[in-house]
Amino acid sequence: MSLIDVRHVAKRYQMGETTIVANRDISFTVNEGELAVILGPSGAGKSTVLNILGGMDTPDEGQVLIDGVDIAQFSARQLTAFRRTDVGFVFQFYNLVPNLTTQENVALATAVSPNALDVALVLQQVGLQDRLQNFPAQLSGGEQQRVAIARALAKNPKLLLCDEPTGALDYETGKQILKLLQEVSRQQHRTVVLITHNAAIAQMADRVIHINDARVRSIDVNPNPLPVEKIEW
Amino acid sequence: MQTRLYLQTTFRDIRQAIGRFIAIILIILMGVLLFVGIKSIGPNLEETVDHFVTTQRVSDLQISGTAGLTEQDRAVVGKMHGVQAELGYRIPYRDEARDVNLQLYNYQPTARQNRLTLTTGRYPQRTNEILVDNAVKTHYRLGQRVTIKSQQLLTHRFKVVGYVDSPLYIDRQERGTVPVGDDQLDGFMYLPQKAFAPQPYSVMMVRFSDLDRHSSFSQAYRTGIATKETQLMRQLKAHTTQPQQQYLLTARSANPGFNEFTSLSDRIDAIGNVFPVFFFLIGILITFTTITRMIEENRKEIGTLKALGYRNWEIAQKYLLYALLTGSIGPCLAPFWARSYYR
Repeated sequence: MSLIDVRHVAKRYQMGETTIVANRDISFTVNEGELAVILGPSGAGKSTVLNILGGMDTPDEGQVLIDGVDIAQFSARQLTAFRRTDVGFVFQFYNLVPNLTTQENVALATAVSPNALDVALVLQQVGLQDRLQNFPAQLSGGEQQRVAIARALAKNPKLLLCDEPTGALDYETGKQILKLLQEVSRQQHRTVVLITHNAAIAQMADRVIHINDARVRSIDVNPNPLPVEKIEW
Repeated sequence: MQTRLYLQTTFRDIRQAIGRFIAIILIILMGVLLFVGIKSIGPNLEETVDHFVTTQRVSDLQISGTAGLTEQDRAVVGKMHGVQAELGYRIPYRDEARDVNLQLYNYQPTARQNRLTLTTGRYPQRTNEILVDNAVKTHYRLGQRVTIKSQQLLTHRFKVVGYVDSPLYIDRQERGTVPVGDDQLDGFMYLPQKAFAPQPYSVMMVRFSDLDRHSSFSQAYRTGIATKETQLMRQLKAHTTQPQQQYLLTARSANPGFNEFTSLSDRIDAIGNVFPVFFFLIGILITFTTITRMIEENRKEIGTLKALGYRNWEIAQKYLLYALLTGSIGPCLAPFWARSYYR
């Protein structure tokens, strides 16, 4: 059974006089434990899909079934509770709180999450056991993104949503981050949805959803995803 | 508490931008200090007068009569409960040579009301020595021999030995009126008791001991003095031996300068009610813009917290805490600081 089932979702934004259509009849599914990549150029509507999946935004039309529950019908309160328990976000620019240490940044997430994991353990999983007391400004970009991933994972979410997680990183560091995300998916059997405009990255995914001009153009299921080490771009 | 860690960031934010934090506190503190200062001027002025009235033992009433006053009048007044009555002289006099209008009082070293304040010279020791109002000191040199040609006096040659202030005249310029010359009183003199013809007296100074505890500006005093006035009037009229006698009662509030002082303190009190509104608005404006700016600066952090599943009011706690701290530290400190300037 699929963990994510998006059906005919549409989202429009009103910008003064003009209406911008971000999503126009988007439908796709992602199975539990899969690593899915949403691929498309800038402005295609990828981030809108991710925001809707994560309960940060609500669609104008359609259904968004997460584990069989339609979150499109949720109230603002229910969406907050959903984000608390079921979703972990990883952003392009890490979005760490600058005056909290590595450990505290992760604890910030677990403080409000009922089934959270042990902070130190999760930080060990992402390889930051030696940087617990460092502030974000004392960490490299790659390390900061690892903290962000740890923060998302520590909530023990059903869904890990990553918006261009390598966008601000160099090639090598970006690859390490992708490798970490692939490991999370494989080893912890966690469902990961990853946004990118880099077609090469799509090779590591179980499922690739091509989005262009606010529509789903095609969905490829990849029976043999490549390990990140084998991908070059 | 789930938001404990998040609220800790407030204190770290404060430490990082301590200047801004202190600036807001100082501005609010100054506003409150100004408020406390202005608001306390009115009561302070009144308290000053009350203190003055008590220490100088200023009379509550001055009684005069068209036919003068006698010992019998004093006895009538003195019989009333809690009354201190002293007879004295008050004679209007125009000094033509110097072009000044004066009130001549009798100087009694044992007088228990309207205590004089000596500023220069000394108190009289002989029966020809006089005290002169500071307001007319330029006309009467210290040690000068002065001739006062009033027919109501027994002797006319005096020597100036000191300058004084009288609590009956608290305004430096405004001395009230006098029925001689151009009607404008310029000052007073205290002449020896023996210079005056013995009877009748011209004025009776009255003090009520049971009105002592009330402020001169309080409603209790005003109603109290009004009641006393009617009582006194009735008693005096009932016992007088002269059917033509008309008594005139002058309350303390009618003393020259006293009225003006009262309206001044009322005016400042009114300003004290308007000014704080502006400080209040400034305080609101500063806190409002600072918190708005903080929220603007922290948009990304707020977005992250929302993504983490923080509720809106949980996120708002940080800014409420900041506003509460900056808004309350100043007002808490101000009264203590202001107190150290008091007195």
